[in-house]
Amino acid sequence: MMLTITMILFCLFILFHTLYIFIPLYSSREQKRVYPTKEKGISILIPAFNETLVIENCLMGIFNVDYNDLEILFINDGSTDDTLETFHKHLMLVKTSKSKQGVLEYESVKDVYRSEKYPYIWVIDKGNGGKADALNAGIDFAKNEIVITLDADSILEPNSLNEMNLTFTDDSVVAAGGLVNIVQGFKRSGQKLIPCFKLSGLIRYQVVQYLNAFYLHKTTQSRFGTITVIAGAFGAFRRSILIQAKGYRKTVGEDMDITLRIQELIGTVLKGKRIVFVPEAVCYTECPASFKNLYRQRIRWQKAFIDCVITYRKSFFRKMNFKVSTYLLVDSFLLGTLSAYPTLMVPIIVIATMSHLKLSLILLIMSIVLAIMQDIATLLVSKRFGHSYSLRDSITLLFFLPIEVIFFRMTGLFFVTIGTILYFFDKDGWSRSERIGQPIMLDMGVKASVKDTLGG
Amino acid sequence: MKKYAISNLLFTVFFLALFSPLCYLLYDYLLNFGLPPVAAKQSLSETNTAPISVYRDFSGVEEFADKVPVLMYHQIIPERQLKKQHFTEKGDINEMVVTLEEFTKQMNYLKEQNYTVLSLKEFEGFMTNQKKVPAKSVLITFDDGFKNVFEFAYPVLKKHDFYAVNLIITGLITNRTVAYDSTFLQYASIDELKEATDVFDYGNHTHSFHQRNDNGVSYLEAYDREKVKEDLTLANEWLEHSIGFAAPYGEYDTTTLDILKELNIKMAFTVQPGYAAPSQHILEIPRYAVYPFYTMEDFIYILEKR
Repeated sequence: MMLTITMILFCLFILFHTLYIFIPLYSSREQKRVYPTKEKGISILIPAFNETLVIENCLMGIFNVDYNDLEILFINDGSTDDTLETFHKHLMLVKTSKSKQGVLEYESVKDVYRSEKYPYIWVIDKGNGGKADALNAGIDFAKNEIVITLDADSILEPNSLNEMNLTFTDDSVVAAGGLVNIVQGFKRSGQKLIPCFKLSGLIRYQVVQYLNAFYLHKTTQSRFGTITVIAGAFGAFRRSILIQAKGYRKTVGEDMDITLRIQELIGTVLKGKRIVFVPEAVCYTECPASFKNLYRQRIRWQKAFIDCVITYRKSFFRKMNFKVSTYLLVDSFLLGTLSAYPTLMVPIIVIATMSHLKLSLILLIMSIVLAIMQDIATLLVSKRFGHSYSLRDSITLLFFLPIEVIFFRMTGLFFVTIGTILYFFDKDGWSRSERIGQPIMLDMGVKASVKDTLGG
Repeated sequence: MKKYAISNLLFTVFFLALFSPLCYLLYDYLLNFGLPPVAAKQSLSETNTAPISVYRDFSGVEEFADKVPVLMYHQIIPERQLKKQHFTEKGDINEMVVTLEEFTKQMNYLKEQNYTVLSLKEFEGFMTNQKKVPAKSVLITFDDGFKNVFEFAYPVLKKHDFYAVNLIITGLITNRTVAYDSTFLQYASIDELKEATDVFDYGNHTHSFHQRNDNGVSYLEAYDREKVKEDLTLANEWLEHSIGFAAPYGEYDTTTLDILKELNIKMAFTVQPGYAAPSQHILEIPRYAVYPFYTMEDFIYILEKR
């Protein structure tokens, strides 16, 4: 009986992970991209709560973006540090007013500022209400058809908005996720960021994991229409759908929550609409550099996931369509969360009873081989999208893969199990990643001139 | 996309080359474990195996036997591999099981004491008064055809150049050799039978009649003559060279003996304790069961009581 259950789970696991390898590998993408001449209006929402450290990076990213029909709304969510002052310093803000739709609820807005220097940048200063609340305020004030949500530490790649613009020319697309890269995994060379693998193990692990998650998993999910999370670091939505979804819900993982809400709409009233992943639309974000912060981040993610599963438990197969529900419940929940417990138990049981030793060994080796093959596929696919490492880095990477698979994935299991348990004890503890504010986008010369431009 | 066709192909081939052997290993393991054994497709008669033809000349021996003890075993399992099901409710070892440790001691004793372990053919010669065998002679038999006999008893017997008769339920012999696991009651595979023909002669223990009906009557007694004959014939054809027979549970009637005569079975063993002597009915040869609770003294007593 146990053997049957194990085998069924294992076969599902193999099935999903083989799909994750071969779907992206054999998916063809247009190589020559023709961007539409007409730019759709884009409003970028950036919630900021005590973000003094990273604001400069963020602004730099925005100034670099190659797009015209743009408005940027910073939402200062009642910061208690110098966030607002930093905005003042760089943007020459003046108090003004901005029309809003008044369709969503959020904490009261104190003031609306507009930059004299860059008239497309606005700062909305409101009382503290959390990230979801800040985003709701942003949606309410946004004037453009396409809304893009960023984290304060997200840095857009110059061409990213053109990609999003292209994506939304397809009327069936209601929301799109961009590719999130780890900024620490790059070094600057001239005007370009090039991948670099001279990093600490912890960051290496996250770099590989992000590449894997986006280039393989998200691509596959996009193809099957089963995207369940549009990363908060870089998401694009039609404003109408956000309003139809009644904005963001205050929760640990508001990005997954809004995505599932949109999936509900797609499953019920908006049949035929799609959520897609756009691997060409790239942004860079910081990842935790210490184990403690990584632990916090992952626990938060896992709590967010469990929260969503519980919140939407009645929607699966009813409001959400079959594919999305199956994917979420089988791959993410059953294989990703529940299986973690028996997996951690297996070594103990096997050693204690000395039975099924060979079976466990076969399953373990299969998992490891599959994971390494998946990592290699990740490198192949990401290379096709221009994310290629130097020969030396590639060799380092290949040697790192087994370590990643054996050691770091175990750590992943640990996060999942602990996070799930902690959810039931401490639901509301949402703390965010520590910001580092490394001026990675800027080499020293450029930085100096930017400081001049910014009036800093 | 054409551009990536080669790298895709290379990757896929590499993937399959690494992954398919692993899949096969898993498949193989599961066949061993998860699935119930399948009856052998091939019969022993189709495998070109010859019965043991050993027929030694004992003419120089000083003293000859007038009766020979026939030992009966069922299962041989190492002590540390004994599982719950090998014990009775009282905590004693099941009567059908002799531990490998005890069995080894017993065989060593036979060797040290220069016992002649007879082949079935020699035993037949003795029983039909065609051959004299040494005073210290013994015949070893195993009933049912359990895998553990092949796994554990066979190497011991082979080491001592002993022979033995394995009375098997031919319908239970499996098609594939699987890993040994004392948790399950495993029967031997056709390949294991083939490989052990240097030690074992195979005898008829019915094809599928090692059962009792709802009233507890053994099939040999419960079914009519035609059915019984059909089953025994099937087993005999399966074995081809079989000259020996033992009734399941030692339960049979005169009809059974008639059928055995019709099938030209030379010798049949019972479970009645006693010594085999040419004067006895050759289709009712008594045997001494060796029980797990026997001490070496008990074992020696059986051998030397005569």
